[in-house]
Amino acid sequence: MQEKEIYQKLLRNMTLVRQNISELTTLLNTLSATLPSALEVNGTFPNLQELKDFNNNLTIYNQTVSREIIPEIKSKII
Amino acid sequence: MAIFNLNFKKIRENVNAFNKDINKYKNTISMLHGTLVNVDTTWNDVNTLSFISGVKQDYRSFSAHLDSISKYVLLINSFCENIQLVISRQFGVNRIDYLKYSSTTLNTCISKLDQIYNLLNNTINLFYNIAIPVDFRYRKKLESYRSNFYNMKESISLLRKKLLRINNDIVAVINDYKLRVNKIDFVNIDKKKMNYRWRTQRVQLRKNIKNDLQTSSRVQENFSNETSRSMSASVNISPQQAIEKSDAIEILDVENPEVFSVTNQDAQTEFLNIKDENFVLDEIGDLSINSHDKFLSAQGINITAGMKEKVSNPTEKLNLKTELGEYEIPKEEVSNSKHNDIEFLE
Repeated sequence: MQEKEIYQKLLRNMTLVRQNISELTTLLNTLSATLPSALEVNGTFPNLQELKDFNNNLTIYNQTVSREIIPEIKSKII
Repeated sequence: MAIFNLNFKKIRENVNAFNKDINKYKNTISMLHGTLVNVDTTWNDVNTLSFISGVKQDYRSFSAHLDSISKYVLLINSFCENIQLVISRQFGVNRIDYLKYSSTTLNTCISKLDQIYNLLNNTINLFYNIAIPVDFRYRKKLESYRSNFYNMKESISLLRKKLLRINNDIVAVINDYKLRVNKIDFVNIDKKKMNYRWRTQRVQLRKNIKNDLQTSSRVQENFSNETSRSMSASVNISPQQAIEKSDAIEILDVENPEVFSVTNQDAQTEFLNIKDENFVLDEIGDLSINSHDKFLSAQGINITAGMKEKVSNPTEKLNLKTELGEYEIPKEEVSNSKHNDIEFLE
């Protein structure tokens, strides 16, 4: 496989990763909001902070993929 | 579907308070029972024995009732402890004071976790399906992302398992509770007021008999104009009932041999003092009211009262004999007062 093709495939995958991350962010947000209603122990859901950390990381990944990685891949294809 | 909103802190406090109270109650009624068993039944009066028997019967049903309640409290406490155990086991929380739980919402969350898990899996595959060129500037970053997504997927999977176990375990705890609660044979008690008296005539002894008898104005006799009658009665009562809190003593039947029933107004206080018999004996001493054959006396822990006489002259004098002296009181002076501490009522 030529390098250009590899980058084209990488671009497709990263585009899908970006979509997945957006969807994951939405799901995690919903989950973080719903879980305390399902199970609240001593005033909070025990793993809530962990889920919020996931969400923060995903936001950073999304920004990096959109602003840095995808433009870099595109530059390799041209 | 189960929904809880449990304040374990408050439940723990209430259960502790209940256990404390129930022990106090049990001790109190045991003391009452012990006292009744030892009541002097020298006179063998049928109504006195009936009174004691009634109290003992109530003691038994009340004890059974308390035992039923205790079983319920124990079961509720056990239910709460098991729920806490389920949560602690999954999340490692040592002490749970407050828990809100909704199985329906939790199931919704579990299905969201499923979606997240699948999406993470899909994302990880997107990284694995492509060979990242060695000289790509973000190669290491992408590898790091892939690893982070993998860890995230594991955490989500773990959380999903925890929540599933919690749901299953809570259902098991609820089923166990249902099974056990149905096995409790609850003994209820009649809500009617406990009442061991019959009625008709009543003698009330108010606070401190000795002092009352020393003052003629406190003695009231309220006989009818009957020309003759014959009555006698006896009752054994606990000392405090007679001297400290005073209670109503009631003569129960005019036609037949009479019995005084005692209505106690502050049982708890009295039971606390009931052990101290020396105090009681000193306080009461021997007291008597004599008017021919009519008498009222208090000796030790026993009070006997009765009237055997012919009342032919409503103006005759009433003799009071106490440790401190003897008194003569014309009957007309001691009748019809509402405020006296000893009264004979028809």
